[in-house]
Amino acid sequence: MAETPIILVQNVSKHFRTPRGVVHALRNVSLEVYPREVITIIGPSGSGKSTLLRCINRLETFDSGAIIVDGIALDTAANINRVRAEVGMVFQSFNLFPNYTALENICLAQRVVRKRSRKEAIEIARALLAKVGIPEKADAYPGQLSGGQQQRVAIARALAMQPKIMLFDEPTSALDPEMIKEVLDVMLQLAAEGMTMLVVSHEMGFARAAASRAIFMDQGEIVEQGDPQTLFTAPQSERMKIFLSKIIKH
Amino acid sequence: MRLARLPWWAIIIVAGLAIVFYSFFTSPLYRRALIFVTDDPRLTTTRFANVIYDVRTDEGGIRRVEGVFVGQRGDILNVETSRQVTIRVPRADIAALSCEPPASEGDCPVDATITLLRAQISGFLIFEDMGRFRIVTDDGERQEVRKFDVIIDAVQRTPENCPPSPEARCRVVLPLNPEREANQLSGTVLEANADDFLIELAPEVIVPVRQSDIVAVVRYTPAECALNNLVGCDSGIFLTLFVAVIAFALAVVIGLVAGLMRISDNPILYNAATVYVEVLRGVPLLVTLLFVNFALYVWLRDEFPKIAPTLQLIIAALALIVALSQAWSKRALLKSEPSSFWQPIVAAAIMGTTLVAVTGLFAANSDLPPLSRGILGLAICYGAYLAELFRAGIQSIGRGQMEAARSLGMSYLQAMRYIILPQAFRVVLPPLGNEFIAMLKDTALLTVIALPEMTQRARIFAADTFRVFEPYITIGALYLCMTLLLSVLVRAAERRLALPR
Repeated sequence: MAETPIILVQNVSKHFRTPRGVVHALRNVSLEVYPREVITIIGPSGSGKSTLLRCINRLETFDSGAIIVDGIALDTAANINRVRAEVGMVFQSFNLFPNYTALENICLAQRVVRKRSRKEAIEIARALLAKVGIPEKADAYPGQLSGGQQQRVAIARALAMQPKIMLFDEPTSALDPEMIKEVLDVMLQLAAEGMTMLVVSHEMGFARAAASRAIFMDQGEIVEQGDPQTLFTAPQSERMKIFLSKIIKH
Repeated sequence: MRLARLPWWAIIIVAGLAIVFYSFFTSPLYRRALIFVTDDPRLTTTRFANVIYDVRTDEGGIRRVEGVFVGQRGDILNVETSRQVTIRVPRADIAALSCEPPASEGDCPVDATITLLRAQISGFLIFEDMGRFRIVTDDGERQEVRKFDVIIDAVQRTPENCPPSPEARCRVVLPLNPEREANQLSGTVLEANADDFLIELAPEVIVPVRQSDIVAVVRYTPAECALNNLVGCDSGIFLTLFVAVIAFALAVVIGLVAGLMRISDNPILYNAATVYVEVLRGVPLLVTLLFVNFALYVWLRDEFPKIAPTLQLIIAALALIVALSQAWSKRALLKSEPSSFWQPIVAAAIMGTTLVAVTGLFAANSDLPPLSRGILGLAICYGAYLAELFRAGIQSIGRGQMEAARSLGMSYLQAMRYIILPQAFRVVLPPLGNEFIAMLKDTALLTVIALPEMTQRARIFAADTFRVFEPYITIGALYLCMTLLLSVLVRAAERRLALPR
């Protein structure tokens, strides 16, 4: 593609000290993400995939290198806030605000950050709830919703800010198996609509169906990347072969 | 809350309380105990305050007016400098009387001046010691009669030889010695009935004082406790509640500050707060109160003003060091997260200024009254417990909440205001309610510093009347009522705050 990348990760490294020594979470990672791409990141735990994702919206800091999102570098506070407004994130543990209803969860950031009026925010919220398939749960509290419903509300909450990029950090890992499909369906729909998505996930089915690129990370660096079909059936590196052999069982 | 749904132990407690409250209505001694420990609140009173005024006289001098402030009309304050003394004397007790202006034999009209010789006093004997009898006359007046004034050999007791009895079981007729001056009464007749006279022995004297003439208010302390003079309710149960509320508010402030210090990364703040919390939680509250009241208070009064300026300098220097160390450790965040850089510095500056101001305040008013000492002792002990409570509450809100809020674009303060603090408040409120209930009970410890709160009043009553069951059961019942009521309220608040599942 000849367009400019919407996310540019340039030689990013991150380390932190533990009592056991220095841990390198990211080693000189470079990545280019183009608009409307759907990228799946897989790898063993501790490989840095979540860290990379969280660096993109500055939930984690990095020690060297640069990340440029939509032309904005992640350096000053103002820029970071601008970037966060363009990037939506969905977490493994949903992180819905338990003291607000589903509708209020979606409206809160719209009103506080985007300064939309109450009427406008509620309209958008209801539309998004309908889009993710649970319009009837608008007045339910997160404690009254199932895991799949909570995650869908979380996706709607992120979408309400009308981001250009959506980050998914293992969105279905904390769900019971029967609820995974409903969340993946929403994500597939988003991908079909042309949203730029970075998904850290073990769901191979989703990767094969929607991802335009798959990335394999191990020990803080990108080992392999490419088209999901070929990558999963014919991995090049040893490490990826070992990893795939461990997970593609069920 | 239907009765049938209460657990069996609650029914026992309620039944016990009902029995105690029934005795308030039936037993005079329980009633007296109740009145004594609750500071005898009335519905209305005119005795608002005990005052001493220095007033300008018409001749240009200054006179001192001392008495009870009983009312105000426009610019004029009324001060009762002398209280009216009245006595009701049954005609049967009078040996001889004379009237001025003279009236018919054995009679004296209203407003005349009567001089009478009292032959006897009768009533219920409630107390007796070497020098006096204490009786309750038939119209409920307590009177002390010196044995000196009584013809001891002719005292009649019904039943025979009965001992003094607060339950009014021993009726006594005390014949009075006609030669003793105390048995000659003289005064103005207020009422003349078939059975008795109501005599004013000393009239009330009310001095009007023009407010603009008052040069100095030497004293103004609340007098009687009543609904229209609540400032006068300053002992007994009212003091207990007052102390509990004020000390708890102070403890919340101290606890919030200490709790936040316990979460901070700055080692000075963290360690200072840890020392405070560990020490105050490890020492019994009673020991803390004794220390504050007898040791700390004396030192504060005598030595503290001398070292206060030096201490203020040290505190200011420490605050500066803390602020600088915070700034240095967070310098990398100045560009990307300026609030993380500035907030700790501002916090250190505010805390430093507050501590300097508080030190100055203590130095200026170093002679603390007993009430302040008690409140201070309670507050600094409970502050340590509340610090841990607040710390746990804030830390119980998972990181994910802050992360979700920040990734939506909210600032740190916005996230705190809409997400973190409302949740933390929900978590903290029920244990906070329980701590208040605990503090209410611990105010009883203030008897060791002779503060006239409920327990101290009960002890005084027991010493005064030699009765032990009545006062202690009374205050036990009162404390129980207060704590049970508060527990119900806390539980209701908890249910209200709980999010639907």
